[in-house]
Amino acid sequence: MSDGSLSRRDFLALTASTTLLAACGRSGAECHPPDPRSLAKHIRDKRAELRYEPIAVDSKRTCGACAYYKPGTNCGGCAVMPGPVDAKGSCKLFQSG
Amino acid sequence: MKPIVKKVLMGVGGVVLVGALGGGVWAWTQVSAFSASMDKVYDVPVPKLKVVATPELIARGKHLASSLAGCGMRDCHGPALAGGKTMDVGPLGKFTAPNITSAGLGAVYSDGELARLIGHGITKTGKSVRFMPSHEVNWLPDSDVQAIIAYVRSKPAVEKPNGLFELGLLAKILDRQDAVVVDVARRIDHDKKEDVPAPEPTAAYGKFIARLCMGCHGEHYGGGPIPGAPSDFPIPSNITPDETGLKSWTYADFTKMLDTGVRKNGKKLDPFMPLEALEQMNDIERKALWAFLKTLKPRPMGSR
Repeated sequence: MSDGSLSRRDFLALTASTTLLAACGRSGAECHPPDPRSLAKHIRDKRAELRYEPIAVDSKRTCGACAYYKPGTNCGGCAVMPGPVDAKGSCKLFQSG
Repeated sequence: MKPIVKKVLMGVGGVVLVGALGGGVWAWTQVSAFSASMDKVYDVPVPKLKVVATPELIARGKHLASSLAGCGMRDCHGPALAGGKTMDVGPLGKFTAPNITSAGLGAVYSDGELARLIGHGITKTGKSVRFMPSHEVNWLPDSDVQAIIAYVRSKPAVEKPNGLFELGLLAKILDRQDAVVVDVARRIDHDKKEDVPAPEPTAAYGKFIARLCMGCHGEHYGGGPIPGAPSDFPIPSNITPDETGLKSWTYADFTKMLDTGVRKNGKKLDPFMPLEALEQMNDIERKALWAFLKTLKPRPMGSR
């Protein structure tokens, strides 16, 4: 690339590194919840009562699309359920809007 | 094309463009103001409350929930309180009140949080509730609020997912114009304690009951189309003592309408009218409401 133009090799390297960076950035936004056993019992009980699942069965009723969801830097939170919440998760109190 | 015609067309086009841009900016400021207000966390503490249910308290709560408070109506939380039917209000949106049994939101609200919700329109998050007419029932005395909570807690758990809730852009704009109420907590003076008279058949008590009518019939009770509602939506009547309203009505006509859903002129009320709640009002409540409506200044139809 000495003459200032972009060679095919440089272009491929740039594309690959950009894709890698984008993938890393996305994985940083994914939810890595703590071990459920580390949560207090009353929190675990409430989550079980509300049937929280880290992966929603119905992709249209996910926590991320719920009115009670509170986005976070790692996992999100919920206005009505204690503990960390995965945007891809769900519970029985899903509320649209 | 003649130069003059071209100039006129360009001028008109410019005016339309500027108007559209201005309208867009205005709508954006309204929606932003709505979002900011809905994000506001209110500094209203959750009362320390643990309702001790008795059969009498539950019975009173059942009466209120099925009449004045209207929680058990089909359009609200439904008779089982497990979520009502979805109301499709055209461009305003589609709304379904949630399941509030112990298998629904009842599982996550404390008694104190429910009391704050009913009295102040503030949810568990500290933010405003959407659409729930707390501003129409926040006059209920503490004992009645506790009765409603006791009744809600007494209902069996019903496993039913919450229904659709889609708020249209128009609803947000009309809320800021005070034409419809979505952002409920904004309408409530959280420091004011209402001085409510005893439940007697008086206009003074009826004035509080009549707040339930304002959402449809308007704050002056003059009726007319609900702003933003679809054209095929029923038009609320004038319920002031005007020629176009209740001037020629007697109390017997009024109670007959509540019991049968038929107006004095023989026409049936539109199903949108919450007759299932109104017919549950007791004699004291009916007489109080009627006494208040007769004290209103006559207003023409449509003066809302």
